[in-house]
Amino acid sequence: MGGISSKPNGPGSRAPRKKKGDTIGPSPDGRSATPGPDRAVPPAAGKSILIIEDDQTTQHIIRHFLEKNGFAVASAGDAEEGLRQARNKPPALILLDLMLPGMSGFQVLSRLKQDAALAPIPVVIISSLTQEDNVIKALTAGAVDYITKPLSPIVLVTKIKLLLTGRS
Amino acid sequence: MKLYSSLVLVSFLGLVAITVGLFLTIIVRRTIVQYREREFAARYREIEVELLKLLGEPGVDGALALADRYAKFPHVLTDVLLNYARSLWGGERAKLSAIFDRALRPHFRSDLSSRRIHRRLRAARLIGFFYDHADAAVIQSLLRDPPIVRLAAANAIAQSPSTEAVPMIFRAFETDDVTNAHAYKNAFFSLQVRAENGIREALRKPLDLEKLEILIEIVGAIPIFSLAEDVAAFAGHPDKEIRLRVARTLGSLSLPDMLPALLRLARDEAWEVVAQAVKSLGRLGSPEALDVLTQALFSRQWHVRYNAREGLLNMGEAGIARLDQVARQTLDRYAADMATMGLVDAASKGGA
Repeated sequence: MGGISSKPNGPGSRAPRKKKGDTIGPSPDGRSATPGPDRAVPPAAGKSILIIEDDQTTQHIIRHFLEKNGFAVASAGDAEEGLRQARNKPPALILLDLMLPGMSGFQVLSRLKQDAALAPIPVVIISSLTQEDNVIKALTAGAVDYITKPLSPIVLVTKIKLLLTGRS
Repeated sequence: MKLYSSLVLVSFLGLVAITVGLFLTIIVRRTIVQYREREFAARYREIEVELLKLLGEPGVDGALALADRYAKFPHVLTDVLLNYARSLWGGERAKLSAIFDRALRPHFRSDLSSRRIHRRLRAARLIGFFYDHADAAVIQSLLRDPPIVRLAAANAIAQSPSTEAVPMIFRAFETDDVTNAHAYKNAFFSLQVRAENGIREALRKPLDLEKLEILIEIVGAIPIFSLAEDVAAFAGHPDKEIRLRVARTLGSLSLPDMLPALLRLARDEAWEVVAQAVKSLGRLGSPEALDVLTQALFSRQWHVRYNAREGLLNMGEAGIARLDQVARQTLDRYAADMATMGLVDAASKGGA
C-alpha cells in the first residue's frame, strides 16, 4: 500500500523537463533576493544546500525560495548524481526525496551516513510518503527532519535556517 | 501488351504517389506536433518563471495580472497550476487558486458539464485542488460518469479539504461496479484519517465481498486505529478472504486490545488465515501469544511454521526460549528444524 501516492510530473504530466544549465528564478548569488516573510529566524545566508529531487516543479520551488533567502543551491535529479555532487562539494545541508529513479532515498541516506566525510551533513527528507513507518525509518536512519509533500516553502526555509544555526 | 505495360506503369506511379504522400503526411504531422510541443514547453517555462517570481511575495495582485496575461493559453496554464498545486501547500496555494478563479474557472465549468468525455476528464483532474462548493452538484454528476472520469473525479475529490468530498467518494464506491472497486484505494488512501466515518458506515452496509476486503485493507494501510473494533467484528465472517484481511489489518494496527480477535483467528480452520494471524501476533509481541506461536510451530503448513518462528524471534528472550524447547523435542522433526533455523538466525544477529 505504500506505493499509493501521486508523483508530480509523472508520465501523464506535460511539464517540460529541465535541461542541465537551465535556470529558473533569481540568480544563485541571491542578489535579487527580497526578504521573505520568515525574516524573524536567524540568518544562514551563503550556506550551500543540495536538493536531491527528481520532480522538477518541487525542485524549482525549493530552489527559488532558498535562493531568495540567500542560500547557494545545487540540485540533482537522481540519486547517483546527488551522491556525486555531495562528495565533490559537501553542502551544509541536503534535502532528499525518497522516491528517486534508480535508487531509493533510504539507500542514499544510508550511503551518506556510511561515508565519514558526509555523515555529519544534516539530511532533511522531503517526501509524499506520509506513513508513520517511513517517517520513523528515515529518522532512525539519520535524517534530522521529515517534511511531507505538498510542502510549504516558507516552513521549509524556516526549518532549514533553524537547523543550520543550531536552534532547532 | 502495350496496354498491359501502361497499366503496370500507372499502378506503379500511383503506388509511388501514395507512398510519398503518406510519408509527407507523417513528416508534416510530426513537424506540427513537435512545433506544438516546443511552443507548449516554451510557454510553460515562461509562465513558470513568472509564477515563481510571485511566490513569496505578499498579496495576489501579481497573480491576477499573470492570470490575465495567460488566460488565452488555458491548457498550458492548467498544467502549470496542476503541477504547482501538487507540490505547494500553505499560503502560496492561495495564489494558484486566485489565478485559477480568474483565468480558468469559466473553462473548468464548461468542461465539467461538457458532452465530450475528454473535457470532463480534464476538469476532473482539477477538482481536488480548486474545489468550489458552488460546483458540488456538477462534480457529483461526474461520479456517475463512465469509469475513467468517475475514478479520476474520485481521486481528485479526495485531495480536496472539503468535508463534502468524503461522503461523495463513499457513495460512488458503494454504488459502483465491483470491477472498479480497487481503483478507489487511491482515493481512500488520499483521504487518510478523514476516511474514518465513511469506512465505518460502509462496513455496516451489505457490500460485495471484494468491496468489504478493500475497506478492511485500507484501515490497516492508512492506518486508522479507531476502526480496529469495527474490523475485528469481521473475525468470524464466513468468507476466508475477509478473515485473512482482518488478520492482516489487525497486525498492521498492532493494538494490544486486538489480541483476543487475533488469538481467535490463529485457531481458524483455514491455514492461510492462521498464517496471517500468527504473523500479526508476532508483530504484536504480546507474551500472551507465546503459547499460540509455539503451537503454530507444529503446523503442517510451512508458512504457519515460518511466521511462528519470526513471531517468536520478535519476542526476545521468552520467544528464543520457546524456540530452544521446540528445537530439542524429537516428536515433530519439521517443527524442530524450523525452531533450529530460528535459533541460527538469532545467533547470527547476536540475539542468542
